[in-house]
Amino acid sequence: MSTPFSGNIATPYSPPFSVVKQYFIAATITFILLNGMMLLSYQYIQGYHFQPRLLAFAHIAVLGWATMIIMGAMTQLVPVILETSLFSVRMARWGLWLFLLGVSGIAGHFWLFATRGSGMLSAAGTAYVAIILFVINIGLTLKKVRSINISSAHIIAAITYLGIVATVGLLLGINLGNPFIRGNHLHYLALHAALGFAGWFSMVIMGVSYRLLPMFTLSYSYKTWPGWTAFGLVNAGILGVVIEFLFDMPLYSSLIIAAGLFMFSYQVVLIIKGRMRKAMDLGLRYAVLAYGYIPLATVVGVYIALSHALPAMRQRFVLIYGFTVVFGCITFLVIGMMYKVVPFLVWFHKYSDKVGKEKVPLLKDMFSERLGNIQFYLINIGVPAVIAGLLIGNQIVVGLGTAIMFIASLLFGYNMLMVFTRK
Amino acid sequence: MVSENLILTALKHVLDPELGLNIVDLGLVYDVKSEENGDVHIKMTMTTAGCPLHASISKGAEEAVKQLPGVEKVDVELVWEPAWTPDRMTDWARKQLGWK
Repeated sequence: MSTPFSGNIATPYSPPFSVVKQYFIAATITFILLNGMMLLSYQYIQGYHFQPRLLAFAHIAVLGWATMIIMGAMTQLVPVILETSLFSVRMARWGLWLFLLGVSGIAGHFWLFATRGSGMLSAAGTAYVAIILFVINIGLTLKKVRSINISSAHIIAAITYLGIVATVGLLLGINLGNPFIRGNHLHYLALHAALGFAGWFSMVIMGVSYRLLPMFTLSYSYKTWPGWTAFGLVNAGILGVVIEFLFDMPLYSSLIIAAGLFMFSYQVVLIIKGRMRKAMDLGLRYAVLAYGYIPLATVVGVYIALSHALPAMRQRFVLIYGFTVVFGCITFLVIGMMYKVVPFLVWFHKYSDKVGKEKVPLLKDMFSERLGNIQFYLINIGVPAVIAGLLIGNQIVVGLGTAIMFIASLLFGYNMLMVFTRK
Repeated sequence: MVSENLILTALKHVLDPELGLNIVDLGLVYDVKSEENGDVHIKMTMTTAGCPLHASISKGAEEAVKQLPGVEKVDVELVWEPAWTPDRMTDWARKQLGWK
């Protein structure tokens, strides 16, 4: 057996909790708003993906929800993992407000399809500055580290992809109003999305899982070579896809990315099989679900990359792919980790110096487990319902699914509110 | 001199907030020594070397024992060898973590 991926959440190296807390609260509010907007406009979740409401939903989901929460989590975890202080707390603090402003602007302009004026450019520019501030901040924090381990390797790759995805996104934003890119705008939009999903999000999911999953399951004794193999395959595959993309070749390298993601699934199975904590709590059940959706999204992704399906069928699978990645893979893992990390951080700041002196709550007492379980069942009906509705092209099923998801998001918000306002 | 049983009882009030189990039933307390002069030495470990709670739990153990009448000084020694394994848990604790 090799060295396990050990973990930690809070140390003297952690940045001020108030900064991280703001990211988590802003992202949770965005998540509820996103679910509410999807419910009110569920009829737009169909057909061709390049349409105003869908573009707005996609950017709120991947930037306002997923990326914002990852930014907060990385601001907390990277200094702790690397046992060094964050390069700049001020950059993290101001970056959030710039990011919120930028993402709201992007979503609003997509919603109204007001993409030609200076408004969209300003919004995209603001979000870009915020992302680059984050990349620089984490990058310069990483610079202090002498040796690279599996976690830091994933973080380096992740922020590199984030910087590239944001740059491509900004160029596409400029191109919408002032066309300057030769060739098809949508061709590059696909590259932007593919790099975001397979690069930024997959590196984050993999890196975070190697750090937190063993810690939460008490799993210390397992082989680690599949994790490194997955890292190599996914990155080699992405490089291959980019080359194939630029030269208009069939995207066979998507199979290499898929092999890497399956290797990641194998690593997760090894960690979970070796766990000492047999009972799965709420947070872990969410995480396991996310791991279940990853192979599904991978298969759909390869199908889109390589199949010659009719345009209508292809569009349907593009939507299913995007929805599965955002809500199945990313959202489930984020919610699972939030049920573990947020109660811990609040507990650590409020009660850690009271242990042994007075009765302190357990982490699971920091929120309502009953509501968390109801949320779990609801979201497990809502997300598959939307996927099924998209597959069979039935708007009523999609609408029902989004209604259930909205209720689940409210329960999640209430639980997070309970944690943050705990006296 | 405070009895070692009493010290272990006090330590049972220190819970791992993540697992919801006390550190004695978890098998984290390796050794307890009570001196005539009221000094207490506790040798303990954590479930993992990277446990984010180690400062809170070891400090909590110190505070819990300090409250016992007759205790003058508490010294908590955190050790990583031998490493903790689930075999160190009591049957009750194992059941709580889902072990049959």
